[in-house]
Amino acid sequence: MKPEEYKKALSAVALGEEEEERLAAAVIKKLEKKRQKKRIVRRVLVPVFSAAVLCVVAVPLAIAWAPAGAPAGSEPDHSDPPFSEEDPPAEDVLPEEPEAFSCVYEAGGVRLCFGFDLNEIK
Amino acid sequence: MQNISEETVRAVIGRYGDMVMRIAYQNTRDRAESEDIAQEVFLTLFLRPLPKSEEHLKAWLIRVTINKSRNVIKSARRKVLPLDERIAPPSSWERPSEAEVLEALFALPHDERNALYLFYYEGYSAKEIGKLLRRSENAIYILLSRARKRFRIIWEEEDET
Repeated sequence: MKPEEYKKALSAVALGEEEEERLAAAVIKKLEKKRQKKRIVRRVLVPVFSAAVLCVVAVPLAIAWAPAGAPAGSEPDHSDPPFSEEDPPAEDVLPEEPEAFSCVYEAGGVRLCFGFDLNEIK
Repeated sequence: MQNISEETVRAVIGRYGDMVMRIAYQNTRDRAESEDIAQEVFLTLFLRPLPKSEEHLKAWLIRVTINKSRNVIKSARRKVLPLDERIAPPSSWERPSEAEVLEALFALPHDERNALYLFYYEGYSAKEIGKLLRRSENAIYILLSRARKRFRIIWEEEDET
């Protein structure tokens, strides 16, 4: 058998015009479907999952970082000590007993001792 | 996934559709499956960056078509059709001798069929066929030599009958 006969026989195996058009249409349709799926994933699913992940991560963090509230039963102490520009006395100079101070404020388990009367400050 | 225009899809299929169809058909011997394979091959092609040169594109198509045809043949879901249906001649055949040539061709092993096709029909050299089929050049020469011998024997047997 000559190669020409072989070629001729195989040339008969070909896509007709209709089959070619059908193949191209099927491929184009499937490509479009894949593109649409990708668009949906990019525009809808990614933001939704990102928001969900943020909620899962951010809410516990926000709870952990919220300032701790005052203990129950005690009222908040609004008497802020005056700001003094003088250097605070050294620790070894400070008398230890609160009776040595002219003014003692105590609230919420905290005691503030002053060597002067706060009411004198105007 | 790159954006490929419909014109590009039609142009590529118009240019290489017949080649893909022929390779798939001579491996599977089933026209409907060959069309399915052709669809898969082109879909796979357009879902990736297109090869930069025509040569690469053609080589890629040939390799992928042969691989997909092999997968179909190995697949357990392959339908078992009566022999007459599987090698039913396409309506475009003009002479019965074309059907006989194909019948003789189908009697060859797949590798020899593919090597013959790439050598005589597509005009590739043995070295190029070796690269496509991932074999050495010598192995391709041996395949071609065996294929020609077997083809001659089958052809002569059919002539006698």
